[in-house]
Amino acid sequence: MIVKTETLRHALEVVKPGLANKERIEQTTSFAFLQGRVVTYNDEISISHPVVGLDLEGVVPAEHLYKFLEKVKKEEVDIEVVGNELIVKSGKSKAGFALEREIRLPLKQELWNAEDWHALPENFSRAVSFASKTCSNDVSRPKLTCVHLSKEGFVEASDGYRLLRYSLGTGFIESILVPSTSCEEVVGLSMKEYRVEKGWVHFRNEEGTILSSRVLEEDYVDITPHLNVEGEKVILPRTILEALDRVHVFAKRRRVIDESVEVESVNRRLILRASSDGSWVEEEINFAYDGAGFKFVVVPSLLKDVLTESLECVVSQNRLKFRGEGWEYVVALKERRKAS
Amino acid sequence: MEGFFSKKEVESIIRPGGRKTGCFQCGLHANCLTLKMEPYGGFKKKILNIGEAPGEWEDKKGKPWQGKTGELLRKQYAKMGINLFEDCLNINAVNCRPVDEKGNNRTPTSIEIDSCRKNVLECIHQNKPQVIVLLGATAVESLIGYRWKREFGSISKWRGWAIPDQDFEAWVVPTFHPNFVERAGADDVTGVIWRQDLSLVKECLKLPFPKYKEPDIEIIDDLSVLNNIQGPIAIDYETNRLKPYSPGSRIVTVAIADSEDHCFAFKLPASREGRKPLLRLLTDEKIPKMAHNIKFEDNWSSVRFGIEVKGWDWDTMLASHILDNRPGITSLKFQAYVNFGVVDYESDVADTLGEDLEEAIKSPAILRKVLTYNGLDSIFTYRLAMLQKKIMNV
Repeated sequence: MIVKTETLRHALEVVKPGLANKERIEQTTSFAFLQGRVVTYNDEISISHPVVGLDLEGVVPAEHLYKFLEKVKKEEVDIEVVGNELIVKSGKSKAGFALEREIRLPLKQELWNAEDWHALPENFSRAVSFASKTCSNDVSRPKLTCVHLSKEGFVEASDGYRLLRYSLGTGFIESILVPSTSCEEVVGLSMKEYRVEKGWVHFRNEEGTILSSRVLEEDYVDITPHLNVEGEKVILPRTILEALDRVHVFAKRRRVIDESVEVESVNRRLILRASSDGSWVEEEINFAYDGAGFKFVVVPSLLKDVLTESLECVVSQNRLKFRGEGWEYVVALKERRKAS
Repeated sequence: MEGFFSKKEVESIIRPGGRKTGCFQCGLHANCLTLKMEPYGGFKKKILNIGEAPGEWEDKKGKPWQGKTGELLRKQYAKMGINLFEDCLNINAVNCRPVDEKGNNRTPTSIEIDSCRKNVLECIHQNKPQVIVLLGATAVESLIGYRWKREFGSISKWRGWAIPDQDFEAWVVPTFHPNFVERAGADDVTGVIWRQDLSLVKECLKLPFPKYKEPDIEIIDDLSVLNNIQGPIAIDYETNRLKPYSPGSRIVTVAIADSEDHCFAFKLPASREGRKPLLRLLTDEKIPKMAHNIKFEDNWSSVRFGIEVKGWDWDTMLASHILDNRPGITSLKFQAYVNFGVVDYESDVADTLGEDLEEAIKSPAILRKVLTYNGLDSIFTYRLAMLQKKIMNV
């Protein structure tokens, strides 16, 4: 069968985050092809994406198939099954991949044609993007590694020292705790609908991609009492955005939530600091503020998102709060000096 | 940096201590006939029995308590007028059969207990039992272990109490597993103790569940209100060292409970003048005083304040030992749980207490937490003393 290379390549690219790093469970490092879809499953998430014109059933180890298609220059590839192999031809190149006919992954095929999906609110992706950057990476506090989608229509997250509430207006059908690792994938796929079942939440976008994520079946922490921050209004200088870009270079890590920048207000200056293995950076900018100094630590890309909307914040004795359209973001201060 | 949430708020019931566990992750399902055995029984008397794990017979028949040990439990309940399968609901701490390499029954591991805890808790939340009977150490670990942050000890420490567990709003009655009783011989002393423990189940069915009453912890700066106290008090100190003798040893905060529902908690004033009302109270012999381990408060008062506390009336630690001389049960935290059903009210401040306490309470939020904890200690001491006096008819 002839399949558009780009279509297949795009589908594999979309489902790739659902592959496991190691095959602890059978076939979790493979692409499964079934009912015109390609599917991956790694016990935490599963992603499926439709591939037009692909009529194939079986499982193929992911790595070589993906790398081969990455290099193919022809617009179309010819795919056929010969014995226990999947043969992919492109011009003068031909590659064979071991094909297992039996799919042993616990796939949820009933989802692919299900009708009863719930629409996601308009700002869902943006809210989840904000929230997933506020989660903790500390697995000993699992609740804080999740984004909370609440019945009241809030998207909430906290790592214990920073917290965010994004109000979407429309409530979710039940309280859902989605791991931030899954949320990072959800954000990139512009999901439009969702469905909940025991232990899982499923998201679907306009292209027909379905991402299923395990959920944490527990009650989330109550963040409401911590959103009330009273103190003096402070306006941060716009130049912080440029400085943040430069400092961010030193804060880069594999996951966004592992990145951090320290911001300190002292003697009419703002000092931004970051470090990596073997290097560090410090940048000072002018800050027309005479009040008591303060110091806090944040994820730089999130701070940039926050400051792009609002440079104004409220500083109390031990908290700092930003507020934007539909969201509130509170940071626990690392230090607050006495006013001179 | 002061975070937003207490340890208790972020504690996960299905991943205790951060371990990633869930059904199927223990792997027991691969070798058993009855997968994730369902709770079984008519539940007419709202009794939930939690056993250890299915054995061979249970696994084959798909129901708990089918073997010899089940028969022993069934007969004992029958003597008490309780039908094991009609009046109770029955579940195990681990609901797939654990076997060793030879295919024999074995005791479940901690990871298996953690993995299955969610099924047990779901059963409790859905059915809302009036009495939960924990049969054996595995069941105790399943239901209490994940909430108990101190030394857990053996089943001998936990058995024999009827605990008004506030988290489940049910009486929790731990006792031996019938298999242990059978092996020891039902007529042995173990059997006698077991039957005594089970008799608590019937008593609990008659009793209303005592809901925890939130005390009023009044945090004060000016100690002059202590001058108004006339009646008995329970005293508790938070110190930065265990002993008062070395330089730098300080009493950092103090709580004085003047009733079962009210206490004053305060940071110890730096000046002798500021402390005067406290010192007057401590030396007033007309005011009866209670503490949990009197010699601690007495010794610290004597060394740090240079006074002799007068009017010592009741030591709840000593009375706990007189009432029940088993080892490991006299701590205030243990007594607060088994008598009032409040488990782990200290984890919020556990890291704070110690040598750096004075430094830590410079943060107003941490000071508030420490004072609340200190206040609860004094309240539980007061409540425990009243309960003990009633039991001992004093």
